[in-house]
Amino acid sequence: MKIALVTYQDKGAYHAINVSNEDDLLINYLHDKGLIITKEIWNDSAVKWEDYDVAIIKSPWDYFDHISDFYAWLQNMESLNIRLLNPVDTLKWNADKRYLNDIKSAGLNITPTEFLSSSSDLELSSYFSTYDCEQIIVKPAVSGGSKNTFKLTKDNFESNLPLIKQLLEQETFIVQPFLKEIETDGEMSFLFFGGKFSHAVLKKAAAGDFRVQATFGGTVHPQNPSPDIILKAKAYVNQFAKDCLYARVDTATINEELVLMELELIEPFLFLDTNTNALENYYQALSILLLKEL
Amino acid sequence: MAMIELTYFENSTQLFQVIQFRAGDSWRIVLDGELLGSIIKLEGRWVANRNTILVKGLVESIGKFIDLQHFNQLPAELKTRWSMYIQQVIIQGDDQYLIVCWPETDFVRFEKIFRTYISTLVKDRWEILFRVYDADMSADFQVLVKQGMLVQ
Repeated sequence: MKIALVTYQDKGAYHAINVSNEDDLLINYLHDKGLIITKEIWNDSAVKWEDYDVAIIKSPWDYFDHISDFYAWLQNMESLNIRLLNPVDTLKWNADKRYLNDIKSAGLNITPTEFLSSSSDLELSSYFSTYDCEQIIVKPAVSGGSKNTFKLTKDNFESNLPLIKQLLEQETFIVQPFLKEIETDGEMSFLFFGGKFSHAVLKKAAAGDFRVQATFGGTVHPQNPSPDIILKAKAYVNQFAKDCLYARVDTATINEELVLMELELIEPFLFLDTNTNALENYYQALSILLLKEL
Repeated sequence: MAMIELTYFENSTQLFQVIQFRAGDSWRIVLDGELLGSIIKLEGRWVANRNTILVKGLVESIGKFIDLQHFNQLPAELKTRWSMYIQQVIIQGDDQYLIVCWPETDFVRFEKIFRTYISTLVKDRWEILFRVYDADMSADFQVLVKQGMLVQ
């Protein structure tokens, strides 16, 4: 069985010194386990995808910059009958943050979210009262890595309005309240492989920033959450990512309640070097899924 | 994958049905036809899912009961017996196991060994299917065992 580990053409946009080369760590581990696995760039036209049986989506971190190409690539993989992990329908569903509405409809906690699709009657100021907060976050509905993400206050939102309106002509945005808990307490990420909990990390933003990604200087701290907290995070996976190879549940704790920030099912960084069992957990989940197909 | 249904007695009086619909799922606990909730093993500890009406001691004793079932013991026995050959054993139910060999295992030789001796490890009365794969999952063989006898 030939497996592709799907990544992107690294042009330095998402690189950070404290982000280890997770893809190499993973591919070496899986190779040592006996799997025939090769790293491939998703939009490299020289790749002969038909040579592969399975493609594991690992780090196509630029897919949202080329979203039409990415959807076409997914279509091509489907037509070639190459099995994608995670499943293609899950990837498409998760690429647009409107998936948060589905999760909310299922009765699970999410951070409050509204969608902006038109610049004509944009009233950003109303969200400060709607959310009863001092700051709001505005970001694209299809995005990752904090691209075009704005943290707005009552004082500065008007100066950002022209740019946001311009961006709104091109794509849908979402508005969320800025959760001060992210700045003070950080964001807890729960990693699940094959629906089973593997490990957890607490991501804290750099001083003065609100983006917890390591690319922006955030720091990562391994955690040992209690079983009842894990079960709360697992509820999202059980309902929306049960058959996924990997799922990252990004959460904040608001008034002692776990609240979903993002359910990452496309290209999450997996923090595989923060837990001694993480690589083995990934392999175990992968082998179960691979054997299911046979 | 097969559903597993166990019967657990508490103090010889209460009879709980302990049911898992597929490998990896939570175990549902049923008393007198009423679903009391479900339990799952997390980080080596048995815990109850939200809205489960079970005291902690019962969660732990039912969990221990599940751990002691032969289908949970067999993977370790297989790995111990053939540690040179077997990389991992995946429980698919109490009647089916997937086995993955180490890289560079002599797969043909292992099939002969496995077929000859597997029946000595199986204690259950029902048919058990073993699906054995090489490390890159490109070759496999299957063995069916019933009551300590090789079926095919």
